[in-house]
Amino acid sequence: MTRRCERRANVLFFFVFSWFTLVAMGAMANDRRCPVCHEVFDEKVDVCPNDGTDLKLVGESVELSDDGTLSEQPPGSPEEPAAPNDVTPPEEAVDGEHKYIRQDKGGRRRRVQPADGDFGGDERIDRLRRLQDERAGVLAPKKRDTESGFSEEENARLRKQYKEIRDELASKRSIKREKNSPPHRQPLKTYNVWEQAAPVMSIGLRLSWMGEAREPGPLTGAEIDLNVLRTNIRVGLSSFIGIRSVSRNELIFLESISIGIQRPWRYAPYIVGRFGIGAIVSERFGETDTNLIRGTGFDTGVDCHLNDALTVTPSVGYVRYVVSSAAAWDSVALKLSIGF
Amino acid sequence: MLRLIWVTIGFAALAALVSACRQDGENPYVLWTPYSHPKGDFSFYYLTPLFVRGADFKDEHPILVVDRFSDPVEGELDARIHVEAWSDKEHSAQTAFDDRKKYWEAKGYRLEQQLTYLNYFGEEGIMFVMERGDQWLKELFFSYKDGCVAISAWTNERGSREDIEFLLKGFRPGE
Repeated sequence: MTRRCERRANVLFFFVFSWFTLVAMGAMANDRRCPVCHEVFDEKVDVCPNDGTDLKLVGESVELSDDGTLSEQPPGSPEEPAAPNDVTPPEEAVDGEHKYIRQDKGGRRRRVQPADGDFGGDERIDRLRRLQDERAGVLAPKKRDTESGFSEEENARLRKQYKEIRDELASKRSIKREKNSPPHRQPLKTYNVWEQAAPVMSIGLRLSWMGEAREPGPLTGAEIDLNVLRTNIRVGLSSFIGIRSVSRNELIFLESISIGIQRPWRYAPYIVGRFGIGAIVSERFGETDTNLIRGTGFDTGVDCHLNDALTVTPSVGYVRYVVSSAAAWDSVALKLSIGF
Repeated sequence: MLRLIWVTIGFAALAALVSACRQDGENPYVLWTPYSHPKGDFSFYYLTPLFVRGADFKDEHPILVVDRFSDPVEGELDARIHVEAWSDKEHSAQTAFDDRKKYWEAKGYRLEQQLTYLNYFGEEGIMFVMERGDQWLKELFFSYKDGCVAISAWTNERGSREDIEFLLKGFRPGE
């Protein structure tokens, strides 16, 4: 056989083989049953129009008999007994009503025929909606939209309309809120306790010296301060009571007023001038001897605000005590106080 | 570094302030009232209004008392505290010391102590202490020019002896 003849023979064989294959496929082609709604569709139908099932993938092939009836009956029908392995018997009807069996339960899906032998449209829809199959869940909205009669365009229009209504309502609410709120409302100013630099009241220990002869004569005592002005200008009143330790202890009272400046800060430095007047009381020869004393000077210190309620203030200064024209002491004054 | 400089300046200022302040007063009697002899023979300090002028007060012979007794007995203590000072140009300090000691011993006082004495100003004199019952007296004698100056203090109150000691320590011859 020549090469040309051999080629023709191959082509003829190919066509014959292909034709036979198609004929066989055509002979073997069957209608397909949707496993969800159990309707039978032509082989040309790829997607079930009822529930959107892909018939090519999961469609059950059925053969039509010569008279057009299904050669394969659905399992569970009264004409054919159910397979013993994968068939669950249908539940009996109660009071003449069919009982719907959920198809998503284990086992093969089974179609329960109602007493009248026909499924209602609403029941079918309800059954479809109750399916928990993911595929059915994805396609169900489409099915519902199709059945309810809303198209995508209609849905988009409705969504747009809803959004406009919602925005309008929100704007109305905001306008109403602004009307009810006080006009030109300033944001709340954070209160900073350190803006009030000095504490309202403080109590502390004060040390200075009033020497006598060769004795240093330390004057120690307690002092209570009350600050009237506590911002950049500091004005305060203080009361001091102390003991002068010399050969015989003497008691000293001093009422002072202080005026100065201060920088409001957490560690607020200040400098104040002081002027005080009081009495020095001593006991001599069994009787009380009282003399007038004046104390002038200045103090400088730092108000350390530990927290909102507590302030520690160390200070150092100079004080001049004058009892008479001949009695005067120049002394350093040290003080440590706690303020509230 | 800058913070260290500020701290150093602060300490230096504080040290200058401390050194400039006088811890000592003028003298221990700054709160006392000074008394000076009209001719400058002696001076001392006393407290007013605590001390008042006693009977027979003279400028050359001051007599100061505290709580004068309503019925004094001559030769006896006439007040709770009695202080007097005088100058003696005819006798020396030792002669006046001996004479006064005999005077009080004749009144029943017993000699308790006699020593040299240094006043607050460092001047040396002599003194004696005598007691009779609850009465206590102390007298000082200082040589001054050709004579002497003296001060005497009585009290019947033990608690006031320390204050009397303090008063006597401020007595000095001259101004």
